[in-house]
Amino acid sequence: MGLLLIALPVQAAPAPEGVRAEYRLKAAILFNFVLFTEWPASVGTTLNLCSVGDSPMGAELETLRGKKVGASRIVIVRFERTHSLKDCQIVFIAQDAMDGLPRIRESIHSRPVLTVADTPGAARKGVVLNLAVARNRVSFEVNSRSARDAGLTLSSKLMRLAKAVYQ
Amino acid sequence: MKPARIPAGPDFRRINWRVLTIALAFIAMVVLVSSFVLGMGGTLESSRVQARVLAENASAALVFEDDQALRELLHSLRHSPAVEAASFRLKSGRVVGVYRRSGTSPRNVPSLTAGEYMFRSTFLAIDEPVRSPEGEVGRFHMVVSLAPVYRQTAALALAMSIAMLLTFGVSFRALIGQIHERDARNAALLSAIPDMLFEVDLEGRFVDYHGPDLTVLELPQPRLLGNLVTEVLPPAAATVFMSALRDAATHAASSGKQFELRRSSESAWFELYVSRKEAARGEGNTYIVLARDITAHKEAEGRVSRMAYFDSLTGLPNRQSFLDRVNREIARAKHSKNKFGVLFMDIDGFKGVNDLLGHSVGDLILQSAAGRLHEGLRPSDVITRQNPEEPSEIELARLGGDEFTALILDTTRPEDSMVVAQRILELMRRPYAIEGTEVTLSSSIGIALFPDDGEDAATLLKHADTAMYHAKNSGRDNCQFYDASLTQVATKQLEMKAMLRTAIERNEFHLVYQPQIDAAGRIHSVEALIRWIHPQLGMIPPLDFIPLAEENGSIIAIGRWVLRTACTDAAAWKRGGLPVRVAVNLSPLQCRAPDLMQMVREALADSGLGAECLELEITEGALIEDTEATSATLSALRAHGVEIALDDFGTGYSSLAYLKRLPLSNLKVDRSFVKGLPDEAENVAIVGAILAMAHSLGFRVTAEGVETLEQAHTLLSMNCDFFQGYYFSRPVSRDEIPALLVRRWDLAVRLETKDSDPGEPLSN
Repeated sequence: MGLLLIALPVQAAPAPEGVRAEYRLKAAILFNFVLFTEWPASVGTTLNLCSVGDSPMGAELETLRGKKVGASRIVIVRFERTHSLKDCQIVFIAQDAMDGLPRIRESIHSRPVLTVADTPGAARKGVVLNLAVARNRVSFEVNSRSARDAGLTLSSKLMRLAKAVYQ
Repeated sequence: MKPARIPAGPDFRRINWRVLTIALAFIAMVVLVSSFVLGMGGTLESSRVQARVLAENASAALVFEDDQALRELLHSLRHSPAVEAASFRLKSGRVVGVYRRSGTSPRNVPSLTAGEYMFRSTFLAIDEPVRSPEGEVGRFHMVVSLAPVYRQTAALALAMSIAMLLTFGVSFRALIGQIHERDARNAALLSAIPDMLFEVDLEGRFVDYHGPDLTVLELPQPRLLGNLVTEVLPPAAATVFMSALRDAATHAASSGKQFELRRSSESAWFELYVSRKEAARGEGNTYIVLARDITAHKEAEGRVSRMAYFDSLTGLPNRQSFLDRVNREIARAKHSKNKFGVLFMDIDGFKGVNDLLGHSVGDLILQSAAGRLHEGLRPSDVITRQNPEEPSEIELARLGGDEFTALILDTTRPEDSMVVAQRILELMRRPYAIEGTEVTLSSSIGIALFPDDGEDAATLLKHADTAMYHAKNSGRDNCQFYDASLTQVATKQLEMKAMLRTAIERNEFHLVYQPQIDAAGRIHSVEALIRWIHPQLGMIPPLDFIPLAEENGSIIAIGRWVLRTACTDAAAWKRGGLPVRVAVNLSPLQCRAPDLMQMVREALADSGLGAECLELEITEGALIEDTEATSATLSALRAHGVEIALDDFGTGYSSLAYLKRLPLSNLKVDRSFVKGLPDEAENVAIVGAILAMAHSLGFRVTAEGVETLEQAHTLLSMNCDFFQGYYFSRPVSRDEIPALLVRRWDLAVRLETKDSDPGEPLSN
């Protein structure tokens, strides 16, 4: 199962500036999500952020490295084949990795992992947070059942901001 | 009966309205301020909570910059009517989600730092930071109107004002009701009082008047109000009125002061009751004066008093009155150690008159007798004592029947009372003219003296009564003392006084002369001494009659006789070739007599004696009342050539002051000092001192009472100038003097024979 869940490296092909800005925004939003999400106490003070699939998001996530969220600190884990997703607390699923979503969900089943995607319909499919950008504004959907299953507590304030909440 | 009371219920007059109002206003203020402060505090508290809740809820929306969500959040504020405006400000400075309540206009809101709030007069501005776990993500700003707090406070103030006004209104209505009731009651009370009621200020100005018609006062001044008491009332009445006011000013009330108002017909009496009326602060107190007409009461009182203390037949005080008077006098006399006499008089044979002529005649006689006593015993008619200006005071009374009494005050000697008694005897002997006929009666009198014959009124009266019976038994028409021996003494004294008046005409006085020897042994002068030889009583010593003569004033006539006789005798000796100075004694009364100078001149002129041959001897007693007049008279005599000697020196006051001031030429050392010479050292010293002092003042000294040669020798050795006494010669008659004038007492030879005597040899 670990082999299937290889996080592929982002190739060096530079993305156009507009696309980068969009992902920078998405990265910022993702961080904001972390702010309003509570992990179970067993998680400890290190939040490993893993990225699955290939997208410009990977580069933008780098900006979150070492950031503090309350008592916790974000650690970026990328391209580490030897690691399975079970050590991740946040998993970003790129659009090209969405096909492997069932396997990803299975591998992290019931673990306290905040799954984040930016593919339309991802929340309906069980991703906890799905980001979308329209008219330079970010919106998001929440799957509260997935969050509850993962043992995560999402702030009601966050929930209130969601475009849609799936049970 | 219990005193009337005002109907039950709170007495609103007793409420201190000022304090009550202040207290209520204070309470209202405290409540309003508390309400306002609490309202403000509550608004702040609730607004901050609201802001905090909103900020908390908005934190995610702010993080995600979700304007829509923020607007929705703010939109919820429409349920808080006090919130006028609210907005969020992002960290970037962008303001999102501006909310403004419709109908409000923007406020000039000051900029606040995070978490700060600020009150302005009409609104509250709150700034609340919006935090995310990462930290502050923006700020929430809210403006809250304070109008609700004001409205609430105003409503409370209005409610309390209404409540207070209602309370006051109800209380005032009750108060006014009570005042009206009290006024009605007071008016009724005043109408029921028959006396005059004045309200007067302390100055005595009439402020108000209530009562019956003022005509009872018969005031010349018809207007009362606004005028002063002193202007309205006569001076005596005004004085009483004002003194009552002053009493009330000091003691809050005064009662019982009375004054008399003389009205056209009769006089009226009023009694004053004054009470002080406390005035409000800053104003002078006034006084309520009740003037009660007590004329009828006074008249009744007077009648009762007259009946109780006066005899209705004669108008004299009665027995009770007399006993009271005597008891008062006893209390006074015990204190002042005075004496007084109680005289008891009974008309002889009065019972017979009553039986024979009837009671109406008897009453007429009693009235007439009382009138005689009253008229005849006025002080000016009875001169009993030495000082004619102060005659005995006599108080009469009728005990009942034909018994009368008299209280004779300040009697120093029995004969003072005896004089009064004899005056009464004489008055009672006068015939009464009754219904065309004359009735002649007499009286018997008894006298008791305080304190010797009794120390209380009853005893004195009883003893005077007893003495009166003695008088009856002694043949009536006479006076007896309770102490029989006093009767004799007093009678004798009075007789002697009477005899003194005629002794000169009857040639009962004689002069004898005692030589005064000088140091050379010759007669320097002779002292004239009076002798009274009564045909029945024989020789009466001068000490027995001179005081009496001084008392009844006959001393003046006697003194003149002595002076004239002495001058005549001396002139005769001179004509016989034997001139000698004659010394004549002057009594104190003579010294003070204004015509002394003239009397001396006449005596000298009539006798032909030279003034240098006359020496007047005065006693220290005459100088006690040393007046300018005495001093001037003596100076005039001295200037005329008459010598003045001071008699009995050393026995009286011996004041050195008059030695210096008076024109004396000679001092006579009293015999009591000479008597002890030469053995008694004290007398030696005294005589020596007198001699030294007299000589240094320029006087010569005569020693009296020289009875032995030793005394003469001692005095001579002390430089005494003249000697008088039995050793040399007893007083001798006028005819024996010429023989003595040629004699010489050989003092010097006999002294020189005494070897032990170191005295200076006598020369001359």
